[in-house]
Amino acid sequence: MKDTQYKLLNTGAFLFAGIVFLVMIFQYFVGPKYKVSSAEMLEQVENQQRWVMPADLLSLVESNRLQDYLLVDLRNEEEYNRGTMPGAVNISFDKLLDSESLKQLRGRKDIILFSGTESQASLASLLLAGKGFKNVLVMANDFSFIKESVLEKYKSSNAFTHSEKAQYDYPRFFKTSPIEAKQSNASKPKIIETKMIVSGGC
Amino acid sequence: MGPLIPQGFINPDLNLFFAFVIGLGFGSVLEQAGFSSSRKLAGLFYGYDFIVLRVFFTAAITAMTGLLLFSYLGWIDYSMLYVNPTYFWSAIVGGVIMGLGFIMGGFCPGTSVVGAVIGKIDALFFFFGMFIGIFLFGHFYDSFESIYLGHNLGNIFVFDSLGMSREWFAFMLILVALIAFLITQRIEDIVNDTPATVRQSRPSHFFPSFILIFSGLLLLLLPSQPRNSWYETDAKTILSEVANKNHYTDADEIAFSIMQGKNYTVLLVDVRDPESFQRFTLPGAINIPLNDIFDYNWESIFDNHNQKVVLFSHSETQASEAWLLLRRKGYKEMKVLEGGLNNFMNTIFIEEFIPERKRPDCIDMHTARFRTEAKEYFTTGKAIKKIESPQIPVIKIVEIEKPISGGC
Repeated sequence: MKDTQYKLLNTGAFLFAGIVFLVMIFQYFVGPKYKVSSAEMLEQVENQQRWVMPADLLSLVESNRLQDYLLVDLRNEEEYNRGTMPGAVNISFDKLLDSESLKQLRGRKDIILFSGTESQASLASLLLAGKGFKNVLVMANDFSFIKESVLEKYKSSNAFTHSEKAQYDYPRFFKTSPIEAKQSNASKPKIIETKMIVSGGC
Repeated sequence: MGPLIPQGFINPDLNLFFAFVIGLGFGSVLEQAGFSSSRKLAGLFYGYDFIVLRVFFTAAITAMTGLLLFSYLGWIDYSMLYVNPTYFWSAIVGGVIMGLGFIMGGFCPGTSVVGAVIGKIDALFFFFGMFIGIFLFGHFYDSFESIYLGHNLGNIFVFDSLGMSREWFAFMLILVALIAFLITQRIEDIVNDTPATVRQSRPSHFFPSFILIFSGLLLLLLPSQPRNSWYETDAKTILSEVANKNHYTDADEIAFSIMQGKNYTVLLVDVRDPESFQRFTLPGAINIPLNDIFDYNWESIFDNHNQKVVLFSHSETQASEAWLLLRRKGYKEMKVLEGGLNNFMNTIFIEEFIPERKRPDCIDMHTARFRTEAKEYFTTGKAIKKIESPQIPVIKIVEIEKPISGGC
């Protein structure tokens, strides 16, 4: 009697542990393969060091250090042929994660990405970070802006310009916006706080 | 997913019900293990029966291994668990009183209840004594308070004090427990003078020990947090979505959904910093700053399948970054406002609508008319009246308070 009970317990424990281990193995193979966790990706997003601002770019151009970097043009081939940065290679965005492109980038330490839109270049850098690339730099601003306002005619007022800046005084368009701001502040999710007393012990 | 009550999966009001169910289980396990007999408990001190040590140690290492494994699998949020703070003096005084009571009465509080329930008279006395103690403690709490709350060390962990990692400590504890089981068994045999036939006919404990050691090793080898989760979205899927511009929603659509007001199916999420949000935001938008995006409070918002979530910022860069992070986490109904607020203002208020074709067709005329309407709508401030109730999720946060009870 005691023996069978013991055997039952043993099998139960073994089954439970087996299921947990199987789930672990299953989850490992089903999930996508990122080299960094999402929290580390968020750190990457917050890292302001990855931006190459117009002023940085200008100093690189003037001191002839731009050749030390691998410049990657993420636009499509047609746009690339129409004109690009000196020395840039073309890897169009939709082919970024192909094995050929990754081979081209692998081993290079200093990569600067730029694209038709700043957001696309930034997303590309995050996707590469997910593939284990470190220190991928991103050029701020769209390429058309870079070409006109940095490479051709540089204005010092543009030194730290990037796309993520308000171009207009928004409240000008929405007449009653002060009230609006208050209202939408109140429409933050309602948070109900409940107090719970935990007591422990056996 | 877990812990279930603080995460809001289970109503905190059901606390007492679950306490009752767990209590039933706990009591029956104690009774099964023979803890209702004070002889068994006192055996720990005399060396003839170590079952108390074995049961509690097994419970501890099983719970520990399960907690670490489940937390690795993402089934339990380890950071949300409540950890009892350590009060140095009350721990020492309480420990001494508890030990004395244990060796004198042969019960600890939980087992005395079990003993009392099955009708043991000594357990009944112990049980009533406990209540007298509780009464006295409550009555003279004021004079005890300085000792009771004195020397608060906070939420300290043994592994931190020893300077080792959590996983190493778990592995060592498993080994220590298994060795302790072997040694106590030997001591029992010597004290009780067990005949050799009984010793040999004991069942083998190979399987459970193997599982525990294997789990301990697994925890040691794995990183403390998994880099990937199975529910996350593949990088290539994200890439193709961005390349095909599937992640965009345009300014016209957002303007239209704001003008619809009540029939909101879109939740606007402003990912800029709070100051910019205070200065200006779109009607009905809520603020979730980019660096705060993984806070678990927002999960219910992003996970709501009834509405599309549209992220926006000044331009589209920050919003796209937020989109990527959330999309990777596996949320599906996510969009980015194309060009951000700058483009929104541009489209609705500044740019004159010029159709690409020389002869504007029906759609172009509709677009032109819509933009004029939208412009008038926003400049006259009509947007404010219409937003009565954008679906605002209610978030429950259970704040866990320091307990004044505890102990076994």
